[in-house]
Amino acid sequence: MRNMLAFELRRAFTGAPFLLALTVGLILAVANIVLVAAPSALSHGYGQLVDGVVGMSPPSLFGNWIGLTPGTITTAIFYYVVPLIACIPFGASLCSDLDSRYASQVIVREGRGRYFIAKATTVFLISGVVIIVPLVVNIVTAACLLPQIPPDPTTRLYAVMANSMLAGLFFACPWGYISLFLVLTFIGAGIFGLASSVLAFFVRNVFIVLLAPFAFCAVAQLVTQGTFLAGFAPLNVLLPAQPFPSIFWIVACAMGLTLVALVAVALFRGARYEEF
Amino acid sequence: MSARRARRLIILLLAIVVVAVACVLIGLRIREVNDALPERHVLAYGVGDPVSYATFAGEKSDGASLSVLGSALLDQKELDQVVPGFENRVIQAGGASDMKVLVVRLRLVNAGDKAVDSPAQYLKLRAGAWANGVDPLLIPPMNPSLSTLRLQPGEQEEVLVAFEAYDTQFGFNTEQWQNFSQSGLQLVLASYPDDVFINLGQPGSPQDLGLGEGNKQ
Repeated sequence: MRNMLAFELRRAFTGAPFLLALTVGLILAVANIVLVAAPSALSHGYGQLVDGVVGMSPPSLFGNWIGLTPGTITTAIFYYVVPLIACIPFGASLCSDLDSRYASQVIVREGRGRYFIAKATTVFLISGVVIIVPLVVNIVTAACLLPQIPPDPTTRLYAVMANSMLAGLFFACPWGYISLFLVLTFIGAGIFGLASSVLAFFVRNVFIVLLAPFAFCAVAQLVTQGTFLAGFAPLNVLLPAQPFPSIFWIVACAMGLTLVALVAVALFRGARYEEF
Repeated sequence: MSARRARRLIILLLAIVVVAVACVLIGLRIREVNDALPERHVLAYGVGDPVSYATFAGEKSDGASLSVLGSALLDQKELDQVVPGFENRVIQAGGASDMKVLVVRLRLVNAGDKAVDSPAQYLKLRAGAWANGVDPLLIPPMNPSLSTLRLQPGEQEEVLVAFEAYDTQFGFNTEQWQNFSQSGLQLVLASYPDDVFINLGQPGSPQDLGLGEGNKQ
């Protein structure tokens, strides 16, 4: 099992699709720094703001990382293409393996269980990693430019408002809020990758398999727009700026159930896979 | 050990060293950015405590002080009784279906030798993640005898200021909206570099604050 998992992980993390997706994510993360944190930190009068002479709160790291700058093009693009970037590295791998009969050869040698569990684990991990790494790079770079001033709702400098999910946590413990959203984003990205892989049991077309999670999220975004469900659309749930309100326990349950359902389908279909 | 394996080991060791050096440099830079901040103090006051303007509005306001005498939470109906005919634009535009108004009675004292501007219209109310500023449109009708917010030396004034909260500002956090009066209301005088605020405690009724009957002060 460990050999199978190690082999799949090596395949995934050394592949060109992973590097391509990671590069796209990193470009957006660095572009966000260039557009938001750097101009603030290097602006004329920033020193006076920090000294408190002006009487206004200077820009803080907690309001100027990519997750909390919803008005910028880089944040909009990054969080909109999360389902796509997450699926590019390894989402279509199962589809290719099944289509090329490579899966059949591995299953004969290693067994169904080992192969499908290793595949599902690898897809989940690489999908999460390819999204989280650019976010962490953005946060660390922003932290090198802007101070960690505790957020205060009276300053109106933060996208998180009283109606946002976990707003209390953001203002009381901003690192806890950021960490929680990184975990949510990791799991969400893993779900997108897993959904893409599970779809390969039903559709043998790489493009459909890769684009399906992105298309689903775009449609969900459009359908829920303007309704009270807008905050529960997958793309809005993962965005820490939360332009629409939602409820944490519902989001957590929905993500947990989706993950369990996808794993169940993957294992069930995998166990019944007979195409040798 | 084969040459290939040795080369891999060297590359791995080099990578570890590069990552470790990068981590140290990043850590030092982050510390430098945060060390540049002035020391931050949290100055919390209670109802009745006089707060010097110098604490939150600079040295030029020395001698002047502000204190909270009390507060009351009003619903829409009660606000209509206190300020008859007041039209709230947010409710009228459909931006919210319900509102609560916290009215705070302030005492402003100028014991200094220079005229000072009152900070009343710049005050903010905070309750957890929620915050709002003073509604300037409610200052004249709530303080009919007040002609200016500037205090001359030796002068003192009592002023009513109002802060509005709307149900839509709380989204699905209905519990906080319903228990708004118990959500740790703070009158914020400054938030940077020092966090200066007055804990308002549990607001009273309009009668406790002397409101009603056309808002006779």
